[in-house]
Amino acid sequence: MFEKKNFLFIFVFLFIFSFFLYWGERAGFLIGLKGFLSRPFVALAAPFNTWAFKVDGFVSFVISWPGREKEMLSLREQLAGLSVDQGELTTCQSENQRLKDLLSSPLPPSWKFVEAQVINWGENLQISRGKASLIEEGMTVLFNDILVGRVIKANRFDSLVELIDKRGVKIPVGVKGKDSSKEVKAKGLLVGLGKNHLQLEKVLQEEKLTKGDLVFSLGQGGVLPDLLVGRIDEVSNDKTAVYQSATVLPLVDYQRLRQVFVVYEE
Amino acid sequence: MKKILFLILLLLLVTFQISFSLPNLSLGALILFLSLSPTEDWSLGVAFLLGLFLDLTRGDWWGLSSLFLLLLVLFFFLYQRRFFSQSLWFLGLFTFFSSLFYDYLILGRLSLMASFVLVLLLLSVRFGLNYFFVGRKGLKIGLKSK
Repeated sequence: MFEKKNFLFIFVFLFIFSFFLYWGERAGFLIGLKGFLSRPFVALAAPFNTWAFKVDGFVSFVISWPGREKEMLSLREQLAGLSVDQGELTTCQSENQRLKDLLSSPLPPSWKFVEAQVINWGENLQISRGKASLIEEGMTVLFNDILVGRVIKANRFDSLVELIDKRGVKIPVGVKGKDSSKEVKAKGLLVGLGKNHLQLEKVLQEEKLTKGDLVFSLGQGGVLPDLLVGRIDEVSNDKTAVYQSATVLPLVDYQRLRQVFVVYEE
Repeated sequence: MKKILFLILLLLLVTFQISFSLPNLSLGALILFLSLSPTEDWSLGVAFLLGLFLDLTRGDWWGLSSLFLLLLVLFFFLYQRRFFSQSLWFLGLFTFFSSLFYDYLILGRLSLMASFVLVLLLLSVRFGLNYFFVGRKGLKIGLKSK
């Protein structure tokens, strides 16, 4: 049975022996023996280790499940927020780019611009600005320095824009060379044929039209002057006709516009 | 024979514990053994061997765990004079702090949850042993302090 003296003796002996083992390994002369003795233990532990990883993974997955779900929700919220931010950033960037383009285009400094979002598409565009933003009927609508159309109806908070490709719309235009810096080499009437199709008519036979020439507004018919309209695509060669005509390619797709500028002159 | 079987069980627990990130099962087994063991001398030998097993399998400094476990046995028998060693409170608190100190001093981490789980595990096993084996033979070990 229990004897205090015996217990203390064994305790001291084993304690000193353990300390000797500890010191021996730290000193480096028991490493070989320990390595030899640990081999059976390592071999015994090997089969456990294989499925220990799987069990550990499962346990940690189960334990961390509530926190993980919460974290996922939080991350989803953050993602949604970031998507909104990114959308706004993209809009701002495109808006900035258009403003830059507009500012870099050679337009008269006396012109004032009102930015508007396109909210409906069709033969006429519906834009997000109206009389509350000083928009009035007859004002010219641009995309960069490209003519888009004219305001035909201004409500308080929105307006209708008549596109230049609308069937029946006619605008007096001039034709310049490809570099667009030369003088007007021909004059005519631009007629809208609908669905992004434009036709240049009433051009005198003696005036020479070339594919790729640029078409500009002349500042007549309620449209501001020197605005790009399109590019000549195909010229009709009927010499017997009084006038020559040409098809004109628009420089923008009017049905894909998202943002335009309404222009007025002070 | 029982002693050899117990040593084999300890060896398996050590191996199992090293492979899995579990509460300190071998420490729990030792404390359980201490609370059941009638002879303290044998407990010292078990603590010493268990420490050697642990250090061998984990690759820690050899003898370090033995030193800790020998001190643990000493403290256990010192305090069992004051507190009845089979009381739930004593067993629970002793296991909790032993596990906490062992993990902190030897493994360098403070595992509160693992220590708490070990306490629950040990008390359950202790209660189960008492109920299914000892109690049925009429040799009930009291779980209340005197």
